[in-house]
Amino acid sequence: MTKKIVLSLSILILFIMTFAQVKPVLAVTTPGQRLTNEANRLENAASRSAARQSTELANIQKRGDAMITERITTLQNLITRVNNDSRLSADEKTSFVNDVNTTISNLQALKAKIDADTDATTARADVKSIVTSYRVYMIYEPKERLSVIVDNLLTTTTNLQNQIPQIQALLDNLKSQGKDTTALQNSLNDITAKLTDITTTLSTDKTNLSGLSAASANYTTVISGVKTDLSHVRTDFTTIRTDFTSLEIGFRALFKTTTSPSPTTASSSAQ
Amino acid sequence: MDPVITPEQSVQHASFLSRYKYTIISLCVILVALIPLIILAKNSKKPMPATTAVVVPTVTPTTVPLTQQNAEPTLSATDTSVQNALDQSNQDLNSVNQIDTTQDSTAGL
Repeated sequence: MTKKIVLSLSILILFIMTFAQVKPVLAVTTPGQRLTNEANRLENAASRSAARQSTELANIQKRGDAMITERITTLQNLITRVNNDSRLSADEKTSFVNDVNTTISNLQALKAKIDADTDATTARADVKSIVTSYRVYMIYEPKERLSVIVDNLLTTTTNLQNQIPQIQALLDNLKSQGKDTTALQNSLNDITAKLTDITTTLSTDKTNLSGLSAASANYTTVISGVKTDLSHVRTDFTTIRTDFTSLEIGFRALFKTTTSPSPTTASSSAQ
Repeated sequence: MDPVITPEQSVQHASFLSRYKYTIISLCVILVALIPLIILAKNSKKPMPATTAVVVPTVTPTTVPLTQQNAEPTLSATDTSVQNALDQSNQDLNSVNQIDTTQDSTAGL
């Protein structure tokens, strides 16, 4: 009997011990514990999210800084190009350089803002504005470089136009001496007409380019139009050069007959 | 009776520290004053050399009357100047065509 009681007690103890082991698994969490667990989970998630946002912000700022540095280098190269130009007037150079420097200053201010941004959303919007507010590569740089070309060619045109009256005076002088200047006059007329066309084309291009801004929707049309015009202008200048060569040859021929006496006259005078 | 110690004997028997007390203090003061000077000299950066933008002067041709003597060289010079202007514009146009406009793409921003 005692044995049976001991055995039963042992089995009971074993049973209790087994359940005691299993207890954590089968344990029912109380509402308080559940709340604590949820709070911990949310806290961890928030911490992970904050860390992720901080990294994201740093990455956006780094990218923005790199984009602005690239653009400032491009703009400084543009200033060097303008300063090294031998055809632009001092006023034109000052105007170009001031304009580019203003853009550089604005970009530097934007960089400072991006660096000071405290949330990723604002920083991302600011980085996007590096592109959308300036369009350095799509609009600004092509506009400025094409404007330099246009101004240079307008200066060349003006210089040539200043020579036309001089050439005309010489032609008139030769004509008054009874020389046949028809071919030379045709070349000069062609030069004059071409220079007029070039001036009109380049002046229009200059106006169109100066009207371009980062917000211009028609920038592709304007830029490609100016490129096409420059191609025509170059062709016109090539024709002008041919005309100048004709003038040189023509003048040389006329001067020969003017300065050196003809063989017939020389021989007759010798006789 | 105590022996009389003359001032000369007193100076001879004084220790090194008491003899050169003021010299040592002066040296210490100089050394202490040198430390901030050295630190300041190390920290102060050399001033950036002033960047002087070399501005190429604009060539303004003077128009002289064309005569039989100067006609040919004048016309030849004009032709050369036109050629130079065209060469320069060609270079500039190439620069425009080489601009990488994809850098202004907002994709991925």
